[in-house]
Amino acid sequence: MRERIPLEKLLLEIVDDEFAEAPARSRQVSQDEIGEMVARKRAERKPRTGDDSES
Amino acid sequence: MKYIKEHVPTVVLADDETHIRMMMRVVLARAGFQILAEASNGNEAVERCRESKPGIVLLDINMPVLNGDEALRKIVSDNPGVVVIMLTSVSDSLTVSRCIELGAANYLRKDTPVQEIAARVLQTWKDSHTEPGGAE
Repeated sequence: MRERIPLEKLLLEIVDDEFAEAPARSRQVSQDEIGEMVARKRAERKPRTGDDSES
Repeated sequence: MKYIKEHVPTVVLADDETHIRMMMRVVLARAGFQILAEASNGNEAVERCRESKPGIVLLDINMPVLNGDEALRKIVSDNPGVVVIMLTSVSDSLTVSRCIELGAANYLRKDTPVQEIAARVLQTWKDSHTEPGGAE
């Protein structure tokens, strides 16, 4: 017969998993890191010119 | 400061904390910016931008009525070419990414030294006006 997991225990495990993932999903970033993120986005937005050569 | 004298950047300040608005008003005025209006919530920010058509918006995130990222979406939609700079104590990577995706030109943490904030605002404005496809 399968072991039955009490609902409360199950919910606590789910919540624990959520909290464990949260820092990875949304960690605090420094101003320098933000600067790098902004620079990357700015480079993406910059329209490419006909002079751009890429092999 | 020649660039500033020739092209005075105009600013709307949006923050629900009065002392932050007062401080930024002083700092930016000293750096040569012209403050057009202030807003204490996201809705007011959207309205002040519609009325005064600023070059730059300094936008907090945690504000009543309408938060900063929703206000950002509306401001960018209403005012193509406007330079929106988030100035906030929120610094989680998801929020930063979302604001950049929504069109924020820069994102400054409130714990950045005040003079550095002014310098970064000025640099962001210059960058937006020198890039092909940037504002103006």
